[in-house]
Amino acid sequence: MIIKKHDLNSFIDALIKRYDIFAPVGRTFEKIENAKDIKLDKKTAFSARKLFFPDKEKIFLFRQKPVPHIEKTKRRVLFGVRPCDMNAIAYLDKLLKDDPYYKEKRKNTLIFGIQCIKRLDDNCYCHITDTFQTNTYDLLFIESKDDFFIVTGSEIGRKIISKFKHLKKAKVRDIDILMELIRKSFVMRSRARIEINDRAIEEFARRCVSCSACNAVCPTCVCFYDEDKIGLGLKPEERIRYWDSCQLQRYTRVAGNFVFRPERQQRLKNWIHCKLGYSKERVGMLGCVGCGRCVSVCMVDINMFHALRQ
Amino acid sequence: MTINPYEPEMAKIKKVVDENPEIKTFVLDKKMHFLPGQFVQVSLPGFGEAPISISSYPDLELTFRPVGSVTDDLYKMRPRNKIGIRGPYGNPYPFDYLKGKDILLISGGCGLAPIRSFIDYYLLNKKHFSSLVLFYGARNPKSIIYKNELEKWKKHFSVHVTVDEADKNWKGNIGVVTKLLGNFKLPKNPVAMICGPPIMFKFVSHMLNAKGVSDDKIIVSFERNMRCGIGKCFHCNIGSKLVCKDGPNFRWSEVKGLE
Repeated sequence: MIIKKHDLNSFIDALIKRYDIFAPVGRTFEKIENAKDIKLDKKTAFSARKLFFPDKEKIFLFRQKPVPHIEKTKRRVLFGVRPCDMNAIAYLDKLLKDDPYYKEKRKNTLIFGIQCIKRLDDNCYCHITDTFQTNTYDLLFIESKDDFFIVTGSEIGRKIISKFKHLKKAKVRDIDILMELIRKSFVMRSRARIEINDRAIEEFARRCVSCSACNAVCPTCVCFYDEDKIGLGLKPEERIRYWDSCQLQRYTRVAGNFVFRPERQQRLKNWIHCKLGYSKERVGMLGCVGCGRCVSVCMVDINMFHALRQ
Repeated sequence: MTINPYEPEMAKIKKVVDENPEIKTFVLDKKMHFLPGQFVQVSLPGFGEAPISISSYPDLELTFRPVGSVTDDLYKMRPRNKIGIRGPYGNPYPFDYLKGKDILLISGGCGLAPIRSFIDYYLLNKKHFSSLVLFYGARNPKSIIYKNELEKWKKHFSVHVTVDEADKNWKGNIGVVTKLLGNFKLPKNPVAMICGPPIMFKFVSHMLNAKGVSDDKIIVSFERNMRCGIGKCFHCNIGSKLVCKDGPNFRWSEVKGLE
C-alpha cells in the first residue's frame, strides 16, 4: 500500500481513537494524544525497551504468600520504531520468552516501524551489526519522496490498513526495488565480521567512569534485580524489579562482600563481550543492534565499534 | 494461565539445627525432585531472595550463614515458620561421568553443604562409585559443621579434616586443605570435586595439576550473584556461561581464567 506523506497524520489520528499510541517525541517514546507531536527525523536517546520492560515494575504483592502481579496492558501501537529497535524487540522476544511480565506487554503491542533509508546519524552502526532491516513488525513504513510504502507483517496489520481510505495499492515490485536500494546503501559500508579487539577495550576502559548510562539507553539490556518494599504497617508489601547495570560493582557482589569483577576494565570488557559475543551463544542473536545510543550518551567517548578489529 | 517462573512456593521449616555458632541448617517440610549439586532460591517477603545450595538428599535441607539481608533474617526463623522456595535450579553433579570413578571431595567452610548432598547420594548408591575421600578445611575447631555426620561418614569412607587455627583441645590436622592434599596418595581414577571460597579453586587445582590430575577431571561449584535462577538476569555470567543455567558445577577446564 502507499500512503501520501500528508495523509500520515490523519492515519495516526484515526488510530488514536482505538489504540494507545506510543511514538518518538524527541528523546523518548511516549504516549501521544495528537499525531503532530511525533518527531520522526531523529533517533530517540532512549530506546523503546521501557515500554516492554519498565525501569521499575511491581512483580509480586505479598499477602499470605507472594501473589504475582501482572498489570494488564491496553491494546497499543508502537509507532515510528526504527529497524534497530525492532531487532532489539526480536532479541527480547527470544530472551524473555517465558517472562510473563514481558509477554503481557508484548502481546498487546502492535509494531508500526519505519525503515531507515540511510544512517540516521554518525553513531548508527547497524551496517556493521546487520540490523538495518527486520521482519519484526505488523506494519513497516518505507519512505520514498512524497509517499510512504506500507508493508504488512501480520494479519492484524493488514486489517488495520484495509479500513483506512486514503491508501493506494502499491506494486510489490516497487517495494522490492526500493528495499534493494536501501540494502545497497547500507551494505556498501558494511564490514564483514565482528571481531573484538581486547587491547582497544582496555584502552577505553581507562577512561570509563562506570556511570552506566550505556546500560540505561541500550535497547537490549534487561539485566534486573528485585527489591522488596515494606509498607506503612511495617509489613512486607510488594516485590519490585528494577533495571540493573553490569557497570556497577554490586552487580557481581555475593554474600561476604566478595566482588567478582572489581575493576572497571573487567566490567566494561564483560559488557562489550556480552553484546557482541556472549549474546550470540546464549540467545542466538547478536545482542547489539547497532543503534549507537551507547556511543552518543557516553561522556568519555567510549565507542565499542572502535573496539572491533577492522 | 502461564506459569510464573519467579513465583515461590511456601515451605514450612520442620527442624532447625545449629551447626556452629554461625551456621544453621533448616530441614524443610517440602517434597522436591532434585539431585545433589542443585540449588534453590529462598524468597523472604520483605527481604528478597538469595540462592542457597541444597545440602541433603533426598530430603530438602538448606545450610547457610547469615551474611546478607535475606540470610540475616532467615537466621531468625524458627520451626513451623514458612519460607518461600523456588527451584531447583542449576545442573546436578555430572553423575554419568562420575560413575566408577575415585571421587575426591574437597571443601572449605560452608562449601561442605552441597558436598554433603553428594555424600547422602553416595551412601545410597555406593555401587556406582569406585571410592570416596573427603577433605574438609574449617577456620577453627568451633566452626566445623556437620560434626555428628563427619563421625558417621568415617565408617564408610576416609575423612580428612583440617583447621586453620587450632585450640588446645584440637588433636587433628592444622593448616589449609592443600597441605592435606599434598601428602595424599591419589587413587587410580581420580575426579576431584571442589566447593569452597574462590581462592581455594586456584590453589587446590594447582596442587591437583601437580599431582597429575588434569583440569577436565576437576569439578568446581561456583557461587555468584543470582537474581532469577533461570538465565534471564545475567548477573551470574562467567564469560558466555551462566552459573544458574550451565552451572553451578563446571569442569575447571571450561571456566579457568574466565571472569
